[in-house]
Amino acid sequence: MARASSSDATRAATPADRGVTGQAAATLDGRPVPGRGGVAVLARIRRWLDRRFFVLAPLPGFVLVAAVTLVPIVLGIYLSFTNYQPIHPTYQWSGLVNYRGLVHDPQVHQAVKNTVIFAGFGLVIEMILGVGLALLLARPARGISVFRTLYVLPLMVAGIASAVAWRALLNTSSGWINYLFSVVGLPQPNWLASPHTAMPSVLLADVWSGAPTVAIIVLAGLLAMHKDPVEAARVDGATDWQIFLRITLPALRPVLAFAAVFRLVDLFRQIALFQVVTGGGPGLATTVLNFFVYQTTFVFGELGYGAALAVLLIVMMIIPLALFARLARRSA
Amino acid sequence: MKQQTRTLADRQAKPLTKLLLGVLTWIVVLIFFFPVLWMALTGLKSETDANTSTPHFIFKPTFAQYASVWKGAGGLNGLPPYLEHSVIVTVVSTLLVLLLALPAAYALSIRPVRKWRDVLFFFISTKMLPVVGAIIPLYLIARNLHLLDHVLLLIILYTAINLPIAVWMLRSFLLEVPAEVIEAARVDGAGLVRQLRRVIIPIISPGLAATALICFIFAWNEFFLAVNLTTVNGATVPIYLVGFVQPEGPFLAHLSAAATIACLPVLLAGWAAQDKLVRGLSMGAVK
Repeated sequence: MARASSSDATRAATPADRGVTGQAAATLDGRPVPGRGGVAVLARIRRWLDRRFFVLAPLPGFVLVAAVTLVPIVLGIYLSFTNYQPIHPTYQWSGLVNYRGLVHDPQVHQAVKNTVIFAGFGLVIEMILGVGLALLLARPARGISVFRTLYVLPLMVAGIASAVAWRALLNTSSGWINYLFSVVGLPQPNWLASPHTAMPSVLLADVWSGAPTVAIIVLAGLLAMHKDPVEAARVDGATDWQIFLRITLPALRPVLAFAAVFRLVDLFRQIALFQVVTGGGPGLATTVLNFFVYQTTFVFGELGYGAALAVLLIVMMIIPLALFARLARRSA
Repeated sequence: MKQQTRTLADRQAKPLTKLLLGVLTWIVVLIFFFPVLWMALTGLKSETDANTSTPHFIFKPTFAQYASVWKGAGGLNGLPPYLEHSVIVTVVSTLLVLLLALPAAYALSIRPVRKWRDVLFFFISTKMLPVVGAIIPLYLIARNLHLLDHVLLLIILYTAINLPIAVWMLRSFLLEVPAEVIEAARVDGAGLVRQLRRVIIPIISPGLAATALICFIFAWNEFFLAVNLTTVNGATVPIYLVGFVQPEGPFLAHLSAAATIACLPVLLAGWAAQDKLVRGLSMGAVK
């Protein structure tokens, strides 16, 4: 109470403030006058809120986020131990049946393999291209700001719209890619129908938005970098390549780590491309785990099994998530 | 020019190297720009022009596709109801996010409570979980609450999804506010609501705007939750697009026109927020 009265004293010193916010502020700032009943209670509540603000302020958001993310995940883990199917209203606890099933399911093996291929290749390609792109755009060339505006377009285009665009570009008969191939006399594969080219096609579409994502983060890192070590190294006669490997890259390490983890998580979660461009096919050629969960659940209606697959996906993502946790904690 | 950052590619490069790098930049940026351009162009074609055996730049432009996307034609639905849902969901969820995130970010950055690192980390880690793992339970919960296919459901979900990004982003802006300014506001004896309204919000309004734009972009583009949890009454623009995807060729121009319209608001928002985009993408980690 001592604290409250002392702050009341300081408040009283600035009466001009009161007029601005009107009645509510006057009750908030004024001393709790005995006998004013409701108003005094209100003022007390307000002051209590003020004092607890730092504990209370994050609470509503915290509760909402927990309700929307953690509750479904916990419920999903429960469902993964049942044989729930929407067409059968009753379901039973089935123990580890789903998990035993997925261990022996060749489709799951294929999906895990595809996930690793997609995420692995995607990450490496996007990091290399992204860094290259950032280096190009970090140059103080004329008109570079125009380029810096244009290259981020892909990462703003809705995933679904980019999937539509790439489907058209990869079209065997009317797409640009095969047209360019025909101009230079290369064979024109049926990109999305062949099991050998379908995955690279989806990767290409993902790289299109993934590389600029890496680039924008790396570019920010490059522009914030201290120039002195580079200048010093140059005076000492270091080559561009030496400067890049010995100074630029090490300085960018935290930024690169962030970009990599972000991309890895998003590669694991890519779904629009698979749904629109390949539908997971041909056969299982582009069925990654994320898409397989979706299919199992919404197309085949096996919710229990789908939930078990989702748990497998989360387990697979624990490595990138743990990496992310370390980074986030360090930066916080 | 000295003020500009110098990097590897910069140095006193030979004119030829400089020219080659310039050309390379052009080519690379065009490659990244091209799919968007092509999509917009295809939207201006007739369906026959869009499905020629070789791609054409020269064609007779028509607004027929945009018109049929807008009005709906030949048994096809029009876009406006979907647009309306998208606008409602995006705007309301973005406002809710700011309302919840600003006090949270303020509290977490100015006077962190115990375990605040864990709170912050909790916020951010939820953003990393695979949505597909939560979709089944979300579907069941929504069905029991009679919220399936309802804009309210998407509003709640998008608010929760964008909240972590907003908290982290706003926190990164708030950390840049000099401590003396906030101290002065507090010593002044202003109540917390007033501190926020009179001191903090004016200072970080550019950051607030950027945060709003980022939330807008993410909510507008969200596809997976919308497609699985809504069909008609709460269906957003991406669902309109998905509806035309199954058939191979016939709707290519129509689809491109619709996709172009779908991208337009976000491209504008992204253009307006481009300086702060990186902060949104990295959730405040990179400035």
